[in-house]
Amino acid sequence: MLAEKIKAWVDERTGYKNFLHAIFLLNFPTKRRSRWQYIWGGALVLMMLVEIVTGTLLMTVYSPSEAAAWGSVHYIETQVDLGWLVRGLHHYTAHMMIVAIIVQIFLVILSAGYRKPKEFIYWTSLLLGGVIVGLTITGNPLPWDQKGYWSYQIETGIAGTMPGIGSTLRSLVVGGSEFGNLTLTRLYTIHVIVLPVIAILLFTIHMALIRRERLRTAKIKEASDDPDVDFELDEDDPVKDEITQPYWPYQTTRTLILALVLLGLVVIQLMVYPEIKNKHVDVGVLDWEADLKASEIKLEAPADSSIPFVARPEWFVRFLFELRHMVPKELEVLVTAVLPVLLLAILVLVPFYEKVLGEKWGQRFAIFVYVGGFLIIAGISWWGIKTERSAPNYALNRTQEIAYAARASWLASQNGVPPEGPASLLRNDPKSMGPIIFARHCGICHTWNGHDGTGHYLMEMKEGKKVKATPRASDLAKFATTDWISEFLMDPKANKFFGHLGTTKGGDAILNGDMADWADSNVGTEGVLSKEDIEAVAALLAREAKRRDYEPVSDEVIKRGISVFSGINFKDKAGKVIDFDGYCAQCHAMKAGDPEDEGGGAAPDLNGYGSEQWLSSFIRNPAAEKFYGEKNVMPGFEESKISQHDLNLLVKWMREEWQRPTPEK
Amino acid sequence: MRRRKFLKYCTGVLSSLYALLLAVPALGFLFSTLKRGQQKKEAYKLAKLNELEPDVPQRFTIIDQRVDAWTKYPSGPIGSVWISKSKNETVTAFSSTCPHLGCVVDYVPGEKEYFCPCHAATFQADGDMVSGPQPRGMDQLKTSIKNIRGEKWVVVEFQKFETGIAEKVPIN
Repeated sequence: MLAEKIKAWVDERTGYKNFLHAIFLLNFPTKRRSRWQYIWGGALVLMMLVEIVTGTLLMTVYSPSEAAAWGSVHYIETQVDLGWLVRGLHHYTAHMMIVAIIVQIFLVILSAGYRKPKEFIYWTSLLLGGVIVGLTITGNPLPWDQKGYWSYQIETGIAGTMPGIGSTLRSLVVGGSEFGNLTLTRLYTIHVIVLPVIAILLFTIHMALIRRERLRTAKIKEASDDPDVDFELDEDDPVKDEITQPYWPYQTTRTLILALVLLGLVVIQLMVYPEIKNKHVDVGVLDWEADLKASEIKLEAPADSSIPFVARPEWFVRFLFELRHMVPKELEVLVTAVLPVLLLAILVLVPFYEKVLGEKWGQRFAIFVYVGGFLIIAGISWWGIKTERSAPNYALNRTQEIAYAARASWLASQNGVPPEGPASLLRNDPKSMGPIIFARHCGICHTWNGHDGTGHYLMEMKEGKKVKATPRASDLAKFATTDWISEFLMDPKANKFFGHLGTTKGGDAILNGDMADWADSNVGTEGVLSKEDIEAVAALLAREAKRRDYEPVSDEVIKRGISVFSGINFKDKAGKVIDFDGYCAQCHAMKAGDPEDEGGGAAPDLNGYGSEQWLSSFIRNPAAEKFYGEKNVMPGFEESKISQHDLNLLVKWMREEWQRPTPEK
Repeated sequence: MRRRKFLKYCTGVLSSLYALLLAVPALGFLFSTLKRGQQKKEAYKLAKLNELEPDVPQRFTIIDQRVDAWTKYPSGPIGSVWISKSKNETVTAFSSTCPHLGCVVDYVPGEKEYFCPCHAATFQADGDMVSGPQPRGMDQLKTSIKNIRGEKWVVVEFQKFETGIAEKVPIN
């Protein structure tokens, strides 16, 4: 055989067979009994290899800066072939590794793998576990989406509370006191160089220790010897009966099976989980409709401290987060520094329990502490997640977050990410910013479908109880549509419109003013105006707004509207032309409804009513002569209160003007 | 030892499966750039025909939006072309990219030649090679004349070509 000859030739000059055996432990003696127990470590190595390969691939696209991180990850997910698979493998395998570490440490304690002389093997494996947790914590914020950004805020916040070194440590990791470009470059450096190098060093030491320990009890034969006998044990070796089989191929097969099963679970998870992870909230609560299906949302919205997001830490540090909330502020350090150190100490000191308690009870105590600790931590985490999800505003907040995530992804797919960064996708989007601006500036008095625009309610204290505040001004959802105007004309004193104005100083003049008198005398069964008249004049008025949802009406209806507005050619319910003294143009100016150019003047100018221009100038100065003049009760929002940029977004949102998918023909 | 052989076989199969699980996404991921960047030829309205001086080439900058992976840049210069009009009103356009190594080619009015300052590649006014290291003449671009509101505009189909080879091959 030529191949054999070549192998022999190379081996003679390099000794590669022994080298490979040494590296991959091919003839490594293993215990015969409970062999399935000893495969988790190997599976962890194989999963780490997956992380290294997928991580290297991701490095070829990912870009660590505030302006580029989110966009590059979105690009990986949506543009790069199999990018979703590579990133999914990298992400979910990391979490699977943490599960495997929890199992592995348990199995090590169960088999007394910490017992003399294996203490250092045990300690290095603990350190490796710590490094892997560190890799997960530093990896999750890298996409710089809301989830990563806020959970890293919490995690660095926890680090910052450590006594003495806390704040220095935090600013060292964060790159200053504020999150920014330096935070990302530092995170990236820690994630791709510092921790992996430490992990490889630890792993080398760990394996060297394991070899040394095994070689102590078994004489490994050279690989070139009899291929069927890998090692011999001394007759008087205490483990002679236990250790009989070489690592390869007995343990390798099992290790590979476990690794493939775990990776299979990872693949299933990465395909199914995005679909189900948001199932527990009803997406589309109130006006928060999402632009993408939940399964198509790969990332949360780009990191932006001005857009609300409920911060949640990763699941495996969740218990620290929950405990931190349970204790008073002065005792916080107990939870953030003392408790983790204590937990670590319990694990690290396991080899010494036996010195005190004896082998049997020492191990039992270690198992008891480990399992007990695990159950308590799992319980706290589960309880925390459950409480969060049953909180009153959880569904609403989460829906809003999902809507933002979907909106940002959709906008990025449609328009690309602008050079100034992905945060501007939402910051320049009326649909996303409108509700927030409305809630901040308008929601104190006005409502939007009853709430403050974002779905929340303004609360006030009444008789010692927190109750929904009574709005002070009209509800502005669908403002300047035909329906809204007709409803208003039918009953201006309704709660939805001027109803609560009386609570504001000077508001009574409007609440019980000319408009209310007009409605009293002209609308209703007694009044001259029919429902059709009202709807016609409302349609005429709504035409001024040029809203996108305006449905054009026939010329006949417009004519009828003009007759109501101007009083010319007005026909009563019987169809007879009469002299109508309640026509609008007496007080309101609007060229389209006022052929004789009466000009109004006493009440707000209705030219372009509800249009972008009209709304902007009204919001800037409602007390202007052409609007409410002296009767005005609404504060003006000058440039110093609301920027032109925000005003434009607000007005566009009120008019429901934002980028939408082009309807399919 | 048949069990042992079987297990060796199993290890082989399973590790191939494992390698496949890594190799497939890895190759797909790395090679996905091959598919991308297929820019379509875009036509640009560059100059009014009657404002071009006969037989004097003029350089025009192409302004357009540019998408670089995930970032979309606002309109900016993405390249330039030389346009010249002959006395009988026919218009020719050349890419200003030197076919040698991609420097920007100048026009020397005195010599009536195009000249690349990087390695002294010289071209005639009709784009043919005169002297220098370039493997081919200047890359001619398709032009057309469009009537827009009563005025004749020169429209050029802007394209980029591979440099350093004798054939004119569009990039992608």
